[in-house]
Amino acid sequence: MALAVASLAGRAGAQGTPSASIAGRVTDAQSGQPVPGAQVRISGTNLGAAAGEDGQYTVRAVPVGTFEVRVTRIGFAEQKRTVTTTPGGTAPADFSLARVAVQLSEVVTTATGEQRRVEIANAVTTVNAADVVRSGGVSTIGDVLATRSPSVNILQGGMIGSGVRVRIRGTSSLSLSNEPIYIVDGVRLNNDTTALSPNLNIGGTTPSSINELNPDEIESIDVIRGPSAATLYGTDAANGVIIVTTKRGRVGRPQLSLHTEQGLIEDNNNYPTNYTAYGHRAGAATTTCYLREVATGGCTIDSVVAFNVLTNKTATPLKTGYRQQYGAQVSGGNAGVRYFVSGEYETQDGVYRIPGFDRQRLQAANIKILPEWSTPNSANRASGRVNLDIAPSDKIDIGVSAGYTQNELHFPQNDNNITGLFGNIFTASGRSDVTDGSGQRMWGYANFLPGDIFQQTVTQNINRFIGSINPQYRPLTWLTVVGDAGIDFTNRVDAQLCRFAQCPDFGTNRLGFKENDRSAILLYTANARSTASWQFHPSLQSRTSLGVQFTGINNTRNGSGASNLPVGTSTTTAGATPFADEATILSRTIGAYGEEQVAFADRLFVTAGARIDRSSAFGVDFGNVLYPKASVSYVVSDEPVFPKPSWLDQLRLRTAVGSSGVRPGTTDALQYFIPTAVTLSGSDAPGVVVATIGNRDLKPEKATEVEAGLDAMFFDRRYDIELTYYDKTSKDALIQRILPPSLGPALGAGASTAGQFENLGKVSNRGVEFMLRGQPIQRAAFAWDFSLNGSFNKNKIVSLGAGIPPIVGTTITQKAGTPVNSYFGRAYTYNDANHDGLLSASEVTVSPTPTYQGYSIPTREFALVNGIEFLDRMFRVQAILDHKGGNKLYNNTNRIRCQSFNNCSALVNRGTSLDDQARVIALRYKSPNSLAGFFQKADFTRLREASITWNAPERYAQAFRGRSLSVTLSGRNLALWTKYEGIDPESTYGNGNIPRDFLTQPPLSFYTLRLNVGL
Amino acid sequence: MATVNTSMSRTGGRRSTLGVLALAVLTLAGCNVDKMLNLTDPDIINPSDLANPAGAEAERIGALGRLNQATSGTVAGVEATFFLYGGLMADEYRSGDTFIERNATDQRDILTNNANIQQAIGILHAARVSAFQAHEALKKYAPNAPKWEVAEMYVAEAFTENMLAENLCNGIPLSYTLEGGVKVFGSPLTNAEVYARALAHYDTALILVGNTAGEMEDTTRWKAMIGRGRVLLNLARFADAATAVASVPTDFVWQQEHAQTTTSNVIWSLNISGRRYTVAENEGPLGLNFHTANDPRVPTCKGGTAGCPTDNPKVFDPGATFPLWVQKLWTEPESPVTIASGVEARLIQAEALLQAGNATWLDTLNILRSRVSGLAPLTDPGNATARQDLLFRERAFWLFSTGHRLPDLRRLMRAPYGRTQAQVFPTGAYIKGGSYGSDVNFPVTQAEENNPNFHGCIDRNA
Repeated sequence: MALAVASLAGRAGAQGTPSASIAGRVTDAQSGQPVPGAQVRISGTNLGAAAGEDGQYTVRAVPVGTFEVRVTRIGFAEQKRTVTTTPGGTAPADFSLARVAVQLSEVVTTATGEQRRVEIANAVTTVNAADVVRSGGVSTIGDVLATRSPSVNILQGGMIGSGVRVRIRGTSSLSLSNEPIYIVDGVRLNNDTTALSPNLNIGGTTPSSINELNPDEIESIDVIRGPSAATLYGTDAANGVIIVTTKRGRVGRPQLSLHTEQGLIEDNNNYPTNYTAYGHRAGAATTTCYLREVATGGCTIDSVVAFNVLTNKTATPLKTGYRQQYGAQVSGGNAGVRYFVSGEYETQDGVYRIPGFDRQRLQAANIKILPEWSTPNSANRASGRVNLDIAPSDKIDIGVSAGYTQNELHFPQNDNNITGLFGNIFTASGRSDVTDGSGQRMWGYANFLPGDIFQQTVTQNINRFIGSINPQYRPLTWLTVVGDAGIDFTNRVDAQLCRFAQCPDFGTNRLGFKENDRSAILLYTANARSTASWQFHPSLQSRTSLGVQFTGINNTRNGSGASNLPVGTSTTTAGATPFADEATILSRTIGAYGEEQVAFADRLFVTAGARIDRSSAFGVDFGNVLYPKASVSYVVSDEPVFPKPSWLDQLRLRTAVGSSGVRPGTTDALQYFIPTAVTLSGSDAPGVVVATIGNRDLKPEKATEVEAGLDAMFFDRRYDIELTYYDKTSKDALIQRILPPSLGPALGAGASTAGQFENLGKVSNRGVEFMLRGQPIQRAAFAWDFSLNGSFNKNKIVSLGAGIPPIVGTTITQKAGTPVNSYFGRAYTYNDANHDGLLSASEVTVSPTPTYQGYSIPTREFALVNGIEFLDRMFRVQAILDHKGGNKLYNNTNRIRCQSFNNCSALVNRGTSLDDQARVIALRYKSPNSLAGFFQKADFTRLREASITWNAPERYAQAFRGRSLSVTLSGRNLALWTKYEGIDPESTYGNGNIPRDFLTQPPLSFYTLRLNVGL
Repeated sequence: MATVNTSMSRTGGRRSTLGVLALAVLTLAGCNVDKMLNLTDPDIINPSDLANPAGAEAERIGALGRLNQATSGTVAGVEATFFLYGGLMADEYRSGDTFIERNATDQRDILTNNANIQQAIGILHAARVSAFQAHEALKKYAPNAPKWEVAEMYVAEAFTENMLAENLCNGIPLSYTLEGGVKVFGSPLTNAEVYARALAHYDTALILVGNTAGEMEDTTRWKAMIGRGRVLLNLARFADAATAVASVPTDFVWQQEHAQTTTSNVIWSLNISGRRYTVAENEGPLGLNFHTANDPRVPTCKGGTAGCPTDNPKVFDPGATFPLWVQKLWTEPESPVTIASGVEARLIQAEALLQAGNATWLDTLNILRSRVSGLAPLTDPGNATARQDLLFRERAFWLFSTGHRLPDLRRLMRAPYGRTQAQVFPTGAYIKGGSYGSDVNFPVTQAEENNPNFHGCIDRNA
């Protein structure tokens, strides 16, 4: 298809007679240094070039005539010049760019190609990933994105290698993923947020595929926030699009860059202490005793014992982890071929260890401590990339991108898990001297010791290739035909092992088992688009784009497992009882789109477009889905009649409306059976049962968004503000309607209900977001810059659909009129009637009906980045404060401690506040009871990052024949201010729609020293 | 503003643009989009693949698998069965768990959003509807299949219907999913109406199998007979019940089998492996003394003691103040569970005899007891109430943890027994705090509200 488009375009291009060039050098006006990567574009055409390492550029195949040439680069003001070309000649045009905080002429990657920001009526954030990474301390794409764009909420799991959850402009979908999609160099990326075989279990934590990307290979990331901007990306794009552009080579001699990072990983969290109270009742022997009984005179507390495993030097399983990274990159080339080659190796050893006392126990039992038990949570990543840009002629460019990652993760059992580490720490009594059945002192662990817990290993090995080819053909000055074809292929091996007579003595663990699951995960993309640009009139330009896009998923998994392993074995082959399973996921989506943009006097841009999609996931009785869009971007300050005050440099007004979708699951529309087996007369017999009832009319969830905002620059472009309001409505919201059990639907593993997807609901999601950037001081010796971004988001379920009752869970309810994924619980009140400082059950009243208790994700977010440069800008200090709030978090860790494990402070300590006592009484001693006291305000402010960078004077680098030298000392997650009553308001183990603070590892702190050397 | 001066005329530009537009559309249209999007997922079985005798047979096996899960089997995290939950609400088990839902069941204070009960009801209905779908498929696509196979599906359907009525409140919808995914929503039925439905299905099974000789025919017939007797007992039609089971051999057992490759024994899983339930002793305190009775029909041990199948002395809930008591009937994940038997038939006859005032009721019980070493003959306790207590105690030990105890306690509250809740169920202070609630059955859970005909239990009476 792409070839067909190119073919026609080629014939049309024969009419053109380009025969000249424009060449020159782009430099920094302040320093005189070259500005590599500056984009040179010729207005009214699709012609352009990028400046090389020396700032030199050449635009070839330029027609004879007079043109406006624009030069743009992130961090610099746009510059325009008029250039006249002559037949066969090269017109010179040098540019000297002034530094600014931000500008509207930056180039943004969109579905129809690169466009200037001013032409796009949506708020799009571009993150200069290369700069972020150079300042050190980032290991994942989540680290790069965190705090750098308004309305982008990043929640990273606590353990090393755990997944990241990304939400853009809140939550809109009740039953489907709210994750954005990712595109790398034109190719759709696997973004599995539960990237672990379902046959394996850690307790809740899962890795994210997106974390396998190496941030060091990324040049920039564009964040497309909503459907109005993401329309042309089609079905699946309603939650936003994250476009990743990897680094490319620039014309010039080879540039070699080396870097290394050495870092420490610490767990600086304040963990709760476990308590046990001993007392006596009248005429009874010593007994455990709780405040509630004290309040009624039923018991007298004589003593309270307390122990905190995580602060006790003997007992703690925590250590200082270590992180190291080594990388090299080389880039360069000439006008014909440019290259970028990189390689990197990173290891992270997390914060868990087998404590000394437990090592001694194992050694005394002649159990050899294996290396993986000593480093139970680790991540090793080796990655490489080769990007080529080939220009075989003036009319053809071919980009080739190939990235390879080898990733190895090790996880211990944790989270919601009886054999998990934190589960055994937080659920124990307040005594450290309790012994198990064998007489072994437990040192404050409830059931199992770390040495046994870490014997159960979960590993994941990833081999992943992301490759694409991006040919571009310019048959005519006004016509460009572009193709993207590529794959994201992952070979994943997930394994879980308990050797014979090892692991916690739970269930049949110690008989030994092995699970070894192999997945082949393939996403493939084929795009073709053509863009025609021309100028009708000096003040009227047109840009027309047409394209088609095809994406497919082909995932297969073979699982093999076995239990009852003989001693000394560790393979599925060895097990006496083998298991096997197989799973396939197939999906294809094809779409076509068109977009027309008209520019008036380079200040008013009107765009209209539409995309039409079909997908294999749609119901057989549903055809195509149409996503329209329209937008206006108006640089009103450029109007001659605009009363522009002297301090205002530019003011743009913009508005956009557009739709996008979220695709249902690949088999949600189908009615089908699945196999099952039953033992009859001693043999296993194969049978089938209905799996799903299906829905022949199933269609994608469709979100329509209206966005309006303004961008302003002022005070000599040293400040800018971006302000946006959006209002998104998801219609035909896919709701997994719970089927009445009496219909007999199949229940999934562990599920209590079965559902059927129907297009029923309506969800409203609206908010305001802003970004203020400034460079208050920009002197040769000293500079200060800052950015403040923030957002407010409110969402509401407008309707669940006619006849659909609220979807009620233990803690989360979906009900019309309340936010998506709201916490619901029974409100309670208390009154210490006798003023004795102790509450009895009769002094607490629990309302009978659960009511709305709060949002489960933040409704407001702010990030303040401050940087100063001093001593001739040789040093840069930067700090990022991150605030999120407006939501609650279910403190399930403390709930289970108070309710089931009887070790929380509020049960036994006399100084406990009445608030704390009341929530425990409402939980434990009332019927019906209430969990509401454990939905706790989760507002926080965190010192997310702080760094100091030394950019060494050139002479230092030249001492070893280098180009540059810099050293950065950075920290991440350095301080926390919060009123959340749990351990950390960002504790979560799941990557689903609702954060989960349940016996999980809270965020860790990272301290990193990074060295960058340019040769 | 600079002027663009190219060889392209404005008219030519429009023509070219239109051409590109047309091409893109035609190119897209030229692709066989339907073919591109037509995928075959090997994980799934299309209904059309089953429209043949082999398909109907596979559905029959599948339905037996679901019955296995609805009674004593557990697989893939689905481990909810009224064999356990009924025992938890009654006096067979005590919750050694931290899960609120299981503690609430033990405390007889169950909310309609109790996920565990919802799961158990869901599994039971899934077994019922699968059996229905299977007998319909056999009749339509395998007309030459042996009649006992169709009859067996009616037995399975009736068995699950009876279980629903025995455990749930009045107001149980029996919906169906027909071929092609057509939904037929049921209206709430009283327990008696559901029993009547089960009875009709057992009758159908017996008619289908007729007097045909053969091992499978015999066993299917006996399953249906015991089922009929059990339903009739629930309807207090004692004489009819006794007649229904009269020809069932005492040695007959209908067992659910378990294997590590299919389903594990859920009682082993949750009592011995997971330690979520502990065998109760004088719960409430009217409950039976399952530990101290030292009855060989319900052998028990304290976890961690010599010969006990678990070394662990503790229940799962570390806050629990009672130890783990283990039943030794099912000590392995593969241990089979009897869900109907000739012993049950004799117990039904004994109860009918007692109701009829026939003194041989005790002989019937003692004949059964004589089959077990260590069980002494019973003597007549001398009054009506004590005789009832003795009979129900015998049933409790013979039929331990197989879904009979809660229905028996409910029957004790209905005519002709007519006892009060406090005379039957655990009451008073609950061991984990608070008091026992007043539930004597399980509610139809919240998920059923998605059935437009359902608006809650009709009543929660026994």
